[in-house]
Amino acid sequence: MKKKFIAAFAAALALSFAFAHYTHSAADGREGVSAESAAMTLELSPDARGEGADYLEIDLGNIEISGTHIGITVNPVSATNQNGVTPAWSMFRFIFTDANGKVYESNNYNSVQTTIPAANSDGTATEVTFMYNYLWPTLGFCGTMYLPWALVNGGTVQNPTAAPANIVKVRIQHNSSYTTSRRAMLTHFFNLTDATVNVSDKDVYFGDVKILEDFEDKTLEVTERKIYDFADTDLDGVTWSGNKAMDARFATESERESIDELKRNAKENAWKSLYSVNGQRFVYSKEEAAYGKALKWEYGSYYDEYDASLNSYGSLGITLSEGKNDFRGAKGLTVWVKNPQSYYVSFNLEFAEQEEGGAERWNLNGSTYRTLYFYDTETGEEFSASTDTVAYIPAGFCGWVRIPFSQYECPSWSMANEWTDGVYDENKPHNNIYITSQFIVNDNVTIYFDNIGLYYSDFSVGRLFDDSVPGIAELTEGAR
Amino acid sequence: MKNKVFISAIVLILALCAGCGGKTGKPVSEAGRSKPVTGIDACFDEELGYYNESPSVIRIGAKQYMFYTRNEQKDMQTDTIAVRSAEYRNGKWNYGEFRTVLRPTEKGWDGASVFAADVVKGEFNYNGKIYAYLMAYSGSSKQNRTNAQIGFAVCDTIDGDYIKVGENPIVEFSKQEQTAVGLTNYKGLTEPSLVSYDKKGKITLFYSHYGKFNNSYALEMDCSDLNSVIRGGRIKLNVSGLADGLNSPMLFSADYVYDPDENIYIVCRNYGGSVSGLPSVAEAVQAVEADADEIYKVYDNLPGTVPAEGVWKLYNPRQRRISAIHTGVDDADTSRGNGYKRIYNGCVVSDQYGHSVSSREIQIYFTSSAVSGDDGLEGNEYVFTPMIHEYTITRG
Repeated sequence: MKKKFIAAFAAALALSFAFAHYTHSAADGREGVSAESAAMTLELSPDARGEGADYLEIDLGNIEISGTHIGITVNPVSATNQNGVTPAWSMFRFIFTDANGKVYESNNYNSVQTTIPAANSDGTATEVTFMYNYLWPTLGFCGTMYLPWALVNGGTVQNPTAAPANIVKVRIQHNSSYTTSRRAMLTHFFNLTDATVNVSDKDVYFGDVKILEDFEDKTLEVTERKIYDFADTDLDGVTWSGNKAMDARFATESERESIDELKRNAKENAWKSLYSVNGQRFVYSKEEAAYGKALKWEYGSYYDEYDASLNSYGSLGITLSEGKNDFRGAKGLTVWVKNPQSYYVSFNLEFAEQEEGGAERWNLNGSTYRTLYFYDTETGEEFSASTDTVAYIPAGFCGWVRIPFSQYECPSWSMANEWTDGVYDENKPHNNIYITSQFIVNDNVTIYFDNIGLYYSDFSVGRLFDDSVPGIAELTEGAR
Repeated sequence: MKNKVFISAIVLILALCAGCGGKTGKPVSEAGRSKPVTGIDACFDEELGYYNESPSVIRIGAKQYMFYTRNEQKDMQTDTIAVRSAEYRNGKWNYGEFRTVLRPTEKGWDGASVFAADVVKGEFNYNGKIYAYLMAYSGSSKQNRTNAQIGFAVCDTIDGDYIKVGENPIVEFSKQEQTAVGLTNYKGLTEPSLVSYDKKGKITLFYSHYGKFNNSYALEMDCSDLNSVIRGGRIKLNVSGLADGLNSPMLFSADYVYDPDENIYIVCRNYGGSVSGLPSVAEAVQAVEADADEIYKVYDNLPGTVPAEGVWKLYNPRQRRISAIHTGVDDADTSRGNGYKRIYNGCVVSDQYGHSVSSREIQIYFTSSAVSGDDGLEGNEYVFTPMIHEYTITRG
């Protein structure tokens, strides 16, 4: 799935159009909260938890479908997994039925993790994970998930599922018996939309570098029409599964105020929701840098903020959409980094290779003294330097770092998985990139990252007497 | 009876000493004690109390010049750069007296030590004058040589007094090498080695980097105008194929010569491994060679496909290293031991441009040292025992 990044002006127009249909009336007459915050709330509680699939079905009437995606506007508020821990995601499966009784299920038979496009409430683009037949919106997300009809019933880009001409019923399903399922969950459901999402295939290049992640605000080009308002649901008319583990109600006034507050902070939250974070806590935000918005990573004081109960590394995950997860022909990863400290800082730029059964992680952990290649965009200097199980960035460095795939290794902890083979295969999907950084040695540091990409050319570094192979500067700046 | 035995022993020892000095060139100074000789002869003799180490040897016809590090004051670590010229007579190189050509600059960045120099011929404009010889040397403001940096000096003649270029190092051991706790007692940048690119002003400077990371680097530089040096980037050299006693072999304490006929670099490097006792330097040196283009190459192969054989290979596959066993002398009459316990900081003889003088064999020169606690040495006297030796290796 590819997103088209369009100019802010165009995005604003699209946004205006998209939300022009959102004219839900404040039927309950309450003041102080917006009509758009009215929602049907599904609540899975430990007390009500049953076994097997549990769902509710809502009759929609007969709604004509003309778009390529079904938009589902939600706000997952909270969840608890089977271990009693708060996960990053909520999880739901959606099943639609047309007037002929044909079902359209959010099946993802291959169990390959992918993403579907999504828009936050302010229109900025994000993505939602689509895996194991479920959609996994992150907790705190408030916006619309656009499930392509092409991907339901196990469809693929190559063999898409045709969109229905109409839909008459929607089933929202959870399965409490799965080990990955939730013990408790609270989610607001707002609307269904008949949508067409433009997912044009336009890659952005800096010279020979194809940008995978630029940390900019992203917008979706969407045209859509609201076709169902969950706040209008006749809760007494809802059909429940025999194993009823959820309850449905309407959002309370305080919940609607919270939703409004969430929308007011949508911009920052939307950008943050693009990334998954794990391990040690760090502050991540966007800040203007050499190439527009960059990721600003800040660790606090080790003595005050280090949490020994968490992984010693902080991790920021980036999910690569289809197209960007294609590493074929690339020779390595590159990233723009700025280290404002007067000493080394360190991080790892990792990636995952999709194997049959799971993901295989690749990073610089495996061995000391791998070689990285640097181009300082402020001084113009090119040089090469060593890793020591992670990448070390010299004091004051500001520029591009190249990491040939030859310097990567599948670490032993990843090799321990039965599905890993330790062989890099450029033909397999590479769905995730991670920036990880060890808190202990990066106490109180700030690091900027931008423009994670793939590079495709042979290059030299620092050569003065031999120009037969271009340097990093020439390759990176060449197309600017 | 006891007195008689004692006197006999004294006479015997004196006779042995006299014999050793006369037949083997054992370095006996009129003024001082001799250094312990446990193997092949040194290239020249100097009394115990003066160290001679880190040679760089340039051959011009039947004459050659050896630059090396020497302490100026006896029994004190007072580094200077000295040179001795030698003429080839009677089947060997005969060295003349030393001449000090570079000293530390008081209160300068190299205020306490200058050491490990190398010299190359070319055309180097400095302050409006063209000089024929460029020296690269390590310098430190600390007597123990830590946090060393690399400076340049120039001279009209190869063995004249060298004039330092500017007041700052050419290659700094800078804040970029600092850890969060600041620059500490790293060795810094040492053992510069120069190779001319065009026999004029363009040179490649190789050096060892000892900091948070230990590496071997090359810098391509246009030194035609030393007031405005144009430099390439710092290139971490490809070290694949090297093998020694370390997990990550490096080109430490390495001297580079270029063979234009073969387009290879030939290097004499320290053979890495763990040593016990002092000095904490290598126990052997090793001669290796590599395709000149390969050592700079960025390997962009997929993981696991970097050539297993590596870039570097032994200059002679049957000569893995030059260690104590290779420097021992199988001659009981000389009372020499089984060679030198420390063999380090070597060089390969080159012409004035840092090019090889033969494609069939190399002469390497290396430093030897006694070890703390050796018989006849007290305290830190081992520090003042280093000598320089010659060794020939035929290409395999």
